[in-house]
Amino acid sequence: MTVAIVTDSVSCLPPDLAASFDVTIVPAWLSVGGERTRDGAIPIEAILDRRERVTTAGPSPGEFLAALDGKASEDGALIVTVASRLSSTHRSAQLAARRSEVAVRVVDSTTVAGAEGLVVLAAAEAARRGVDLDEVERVARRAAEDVHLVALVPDLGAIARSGRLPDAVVRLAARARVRVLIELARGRIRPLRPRIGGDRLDPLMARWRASPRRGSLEVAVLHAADERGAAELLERLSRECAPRTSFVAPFAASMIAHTGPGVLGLAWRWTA
Amino acid sequence: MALDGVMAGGIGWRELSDGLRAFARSLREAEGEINGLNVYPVADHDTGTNLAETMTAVAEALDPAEDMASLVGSIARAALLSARGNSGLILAEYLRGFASELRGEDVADGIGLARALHAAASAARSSVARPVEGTILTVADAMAEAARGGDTASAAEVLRDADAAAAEALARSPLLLPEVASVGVDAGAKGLSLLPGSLLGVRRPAGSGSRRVNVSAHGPSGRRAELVVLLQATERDAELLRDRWAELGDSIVIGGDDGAYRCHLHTDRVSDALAIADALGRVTDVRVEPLPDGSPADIG
Repeated sequence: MTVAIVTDSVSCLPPDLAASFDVTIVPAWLSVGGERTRDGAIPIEAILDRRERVTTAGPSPGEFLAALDGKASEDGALIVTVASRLSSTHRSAQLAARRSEVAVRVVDSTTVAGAEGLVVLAAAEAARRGVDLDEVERVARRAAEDVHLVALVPDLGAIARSGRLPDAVVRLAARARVRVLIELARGRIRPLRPRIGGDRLDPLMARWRASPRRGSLEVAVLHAADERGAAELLERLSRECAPRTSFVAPFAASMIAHTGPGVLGLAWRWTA
Repeated sequence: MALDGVMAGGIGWRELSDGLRAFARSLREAEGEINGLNVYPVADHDTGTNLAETMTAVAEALDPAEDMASLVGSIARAALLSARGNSGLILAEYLRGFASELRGEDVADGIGLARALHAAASAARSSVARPVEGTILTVADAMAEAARGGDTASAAEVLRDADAAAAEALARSPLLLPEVASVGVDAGAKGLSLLPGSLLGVRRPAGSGSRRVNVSAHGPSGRRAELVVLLQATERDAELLRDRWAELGDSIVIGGDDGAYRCHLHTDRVSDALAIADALGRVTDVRVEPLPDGSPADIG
């Protein structure tokens, strides 16, 4: 019996990786042109092709409870969610935790996508070691503090429409008409100033190099229908420092609905 | 067959069920308007959709109910399963609290309804880590406060008092929550304020009539655009529109008379401007043209 690990689909863990760590993923909802669907049920290419508005919603408390029903034992469960600043999913998980018969803790990853995925993996590894719920929660919160996420965004328009960017940033990007490098830290999106020159992967690599090294490296590269670019980024990075853990994955469809196409993300964590 | 509704002063489980379905329809009709009001805390303009989707799913789950107990159970389960978005989550907790008080009797009298409104407000408030006033929580509290009708109040009287209190709390929301002053009222507050009227069987037309304001179609916030709106309103409201729009942009021209106005504005907050027009009158046409970057302000 170990602590059960549950997360939402925004953490974009590849299904086989999630299965090998016994992580349960609860999918977010999307409405595409009036039709309801879920992360995992719709290929992201379908989102990229559509012109109509795509709206998203996190899993409901009942859906978290159903996931816990199948998985949680008396050792309890930990739910890792996407940043509470960016989604109502965290609140939903908290409401589910209140109603669960077993002990459930909810950790706000304060991040998204592959960075959230790395937090989940840290928790899952701890659970696999057989430690108790308090320790798994502590590990998850520590991982959330240590994880980094930067991304290249070709067009801030989509994120701006989702209301999650300060107006000043949007006006800046619209005038500049360049691909923007952004960082997501503690649930907030902020633009970074990339160095001029080099190819499009250089700004991401430069940002990664600038972070202080400590222990082993864990990496996730996220993409929107650009697996080749993502693989190239991981390969380039691995030549400079071989990661202990790494994965390449598409962003969740529910996230692409807010970022638009062409986004390339790099998440990493140095673990002692 | 249960004597639902026949007992003087009470609301039976069938009437309650119908009322909740009417609430779902009201939220669906007001979806666009409420989306337009959704500027706090994140201007993602989906509060209307979230409330409508949540309540529609709950309403659909009410069909198999056979008495108050099974109705209450259906409400609680469906709310938990269908809650969508922050506002939907709060509404779901509100409904669960409401339903939990009605378990006992097949007909809820004034006292029972008052208790239900209190339990609902309490459940909604405790579901939020950091409660904020001027929002759905304030409307919930106001409805519960007004329902202290005393021993003799009928269910209908309680609901009428709650309705009036909700409208008053709604009007006050921009005073308590300055962030929504530009659009008039808070989105979630607007949504919940439709509940008592729905339970009473009173149909209120949404501010925008049958036309939905699709705010997402009008470009990202931060992009300047020319907005032209045809508005049916009183002269006083047209003047109010001018004042409110002056805070959002420039090149304001409001022409016309006899209750029909053509209103023109250059702004980078189209959805806010539209929501204000919606709140002040009946918008019958909308046209948005993105302005070229760096265009000088000029009278169109």
